[in-house]
Amino acid sequence: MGNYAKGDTEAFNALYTRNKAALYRYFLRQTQFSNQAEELSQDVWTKVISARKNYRSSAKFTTFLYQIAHNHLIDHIRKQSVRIVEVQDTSTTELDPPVRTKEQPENELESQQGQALILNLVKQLPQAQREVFILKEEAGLDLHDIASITATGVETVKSRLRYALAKLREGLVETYERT
Amino acid sequence: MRLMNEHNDTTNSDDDISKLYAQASTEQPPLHIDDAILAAAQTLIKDKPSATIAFSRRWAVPVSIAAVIIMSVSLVTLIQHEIPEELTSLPESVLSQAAPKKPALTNSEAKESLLARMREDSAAIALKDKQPIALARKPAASKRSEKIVSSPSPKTLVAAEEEIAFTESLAPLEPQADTPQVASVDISATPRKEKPKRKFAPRQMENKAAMAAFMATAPTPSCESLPISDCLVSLQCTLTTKDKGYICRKARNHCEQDFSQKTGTAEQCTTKPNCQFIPGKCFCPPDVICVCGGGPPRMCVPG
Repeated sequence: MGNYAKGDTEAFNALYTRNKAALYRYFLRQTQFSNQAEELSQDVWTKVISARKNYRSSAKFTTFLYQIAHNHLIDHIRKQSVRIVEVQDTSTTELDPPVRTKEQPENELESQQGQALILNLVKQLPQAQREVFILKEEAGLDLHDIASITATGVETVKSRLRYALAKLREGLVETYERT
Repeated sequence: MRLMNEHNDTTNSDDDISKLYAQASTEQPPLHIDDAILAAAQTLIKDKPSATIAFSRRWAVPVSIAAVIIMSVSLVTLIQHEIPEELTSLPESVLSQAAPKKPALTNSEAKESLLARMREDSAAIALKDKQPIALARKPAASKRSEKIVSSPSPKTLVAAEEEIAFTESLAPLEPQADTPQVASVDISATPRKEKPKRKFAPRQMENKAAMAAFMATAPTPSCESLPISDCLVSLQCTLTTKDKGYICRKARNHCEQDFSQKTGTAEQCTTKPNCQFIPGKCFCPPDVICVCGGGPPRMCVPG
């Protein structure tokens, strides 16, 4: 980022390539809509470009990036008066079993089923727990960085993450047992 | 041991969840977003503001504030130093026209004429001030006339005396042929008495002397055209009654000549040979509210 601030556009390209997908998915999981995720991620990258001179090398770039992303998401939610409602879509919770074609081996089918299931379970998490989980899984941030970004304590983050994982685990076990 | 096993199970389970999520989470932003962001990044770097612009932006606000402060202080200082005098408010064109018309005078002539004129006017003002004060109701024309009469104030007289003193000090020097002595004397080096606002005395004196010269050389308007208030103070005209009204005509004899119907006294009239003073009877000047009016003003007539 420091190199980019000095005029090295290649440095920015590298940063963007490394972080673009994770950031996009961060917004996608939070908003549930791909068009909003595109718009928000583009806004954040524009802010990053504009704020290149304010970047301090003492902070990790991902922390810097997701700090902006978190604040922008909060602004977006407030602007649209979107109430973060927990998704109660039972039709998606009870997944229809994927149709098995003749060529698909059984373990691959199970894998596909598991991937769709975990995404649905993440969608059903409370917003605070979901954000902590995504920041850990997508951005690879540790608890301290997540606490810094979300302006909460480390213990709170740890608790939210534990609850999120427990819910995901329960959801997976429950679904596999049912099927 | 059982707790440790449970903990290990949970950790393994969490890792499985992470792996499963990593496999599932594969969405990518569309290519057009990538292009737009990368293009924006390049454009902003290329459009990096130059050092000059950055410098100007950095100093724009302080420089603006400094400029406003300097201008305000200058303006306040200027306003404080302005002298609210009638003569200084005369247009420069009038002053410049009036001054050259005055012929070059010798020192003694300048002294005599200027002192005589100033004393005469100040005596008239003193007399006027002694009259009972009536509720003023001044029309525009009256204001104008009073302004002209009251211009040679005692302060002006002091200034003129100073000027003359300086003229005497310059006696060995010959005045230049086409430079009017009264208007062009530079008295900045003259030792003077202590007086407030001395700093601006030279200009003030120059203006007053020029005004006096202008008054002396200005063409006299005809008596018929004068308003009543001007006619009363005029030494060349006389106000008389006619057909229940007033007319201003030219003074016809030596008694009417040089007699002000506004400030002239019986003594001033009777000192002239064969002249008789007739006091005004129920005469009301135009700028005064009176009990009665319409009668003749005070006159000095042969008798």
